[in-house]
Amino acid sequence: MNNNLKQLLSVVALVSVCGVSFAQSGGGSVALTSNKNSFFGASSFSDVASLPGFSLSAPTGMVASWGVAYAGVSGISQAPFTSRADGAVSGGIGFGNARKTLGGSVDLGVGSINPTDGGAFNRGGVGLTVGRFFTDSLIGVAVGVKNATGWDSDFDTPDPSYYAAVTKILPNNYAPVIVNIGVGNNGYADINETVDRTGEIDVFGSVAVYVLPQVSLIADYTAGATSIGASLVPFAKLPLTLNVGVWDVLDNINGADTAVTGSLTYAFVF
Amino acid sequence: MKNSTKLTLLLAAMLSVSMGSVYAQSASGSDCESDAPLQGKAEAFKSLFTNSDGDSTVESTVGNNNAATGAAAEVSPGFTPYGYPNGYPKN
Repeated sequence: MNNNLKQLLSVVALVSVCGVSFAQSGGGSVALTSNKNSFFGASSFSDVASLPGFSLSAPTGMVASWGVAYAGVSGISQAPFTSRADGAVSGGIGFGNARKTLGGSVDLGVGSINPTDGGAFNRGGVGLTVGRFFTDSLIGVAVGVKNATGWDSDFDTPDPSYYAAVTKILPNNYAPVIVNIGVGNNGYADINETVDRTGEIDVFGSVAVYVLPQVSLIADYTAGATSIGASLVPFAKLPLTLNVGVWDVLDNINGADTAVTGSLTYAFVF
Repeated sequence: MKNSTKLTLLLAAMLSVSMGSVYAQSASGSDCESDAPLQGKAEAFKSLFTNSDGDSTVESTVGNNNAATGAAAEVSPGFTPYGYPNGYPKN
């Protein structure tokens, strides 16, 4: 059995577990405890410190405001084109007020944290996003740039990637949904493009279905790759999120293998 | 064992444990409030986003999502087409 098949089977098994959990709660055959003080489990969306994620790779129209800082680590089983496991870290802080005027965040991402591939932390960049959330329509809009400035010790310094995104919140009594769509160039353009992608603009997007207050299932399309995954908040009172997914599940990217991705993030609200 | 297999197994174990925790909490209830939370699901979800002063749950969610996508971008091909950030290795 090759690695791709093993990875796919692992994720299928995990998504199946999510499905069983959803079926149980949706069917009402399992009682959900209504305990607002429970550290581990929550029966309502109002009882969790953080909702599960709503995107795996795509930027979103939801932006942060002053009062939150965040950090996370992400990994991939087989980095595209190198077939090596690798990871990255990212952190940022919000500014402004996205609900009243404008909000946004400044991020720092550092890639290649695997020291066996020629050096750790040998690439990275700073990102900036600005946007507004409209509480009446439950729509968020944002524009941003990734790699506004950055470094890379192995290759040319990455060019900036610009994007614009819109996010719509869709509450319902069965499984609330968050839909996100946008356009971007360079890093967000189809990876299969053989021309300079700084001049190419493509669509990206994600859909998240909140099957439980602490679990969302996500489909994501970014840079020509389709990914599926699940986001989980393991502890209701802790703003810690775990994402697991399969990148390029349709195997559309030339020369790259389908891979398992994961991330663990934590947000500080002050 | 290859690194990719190790990472797969680690991620599978982490998610399994976490899912088990959530599922056990959901399934262990004995106060039979299964219908009530379902009816209020939309309102509870919506109310998080309608507070004009902001909601700490939403702020945490956005922050966590930013951290996840930001880190993913650094390991994804989105910024390394054909293995090179701008298409060509540094001379």
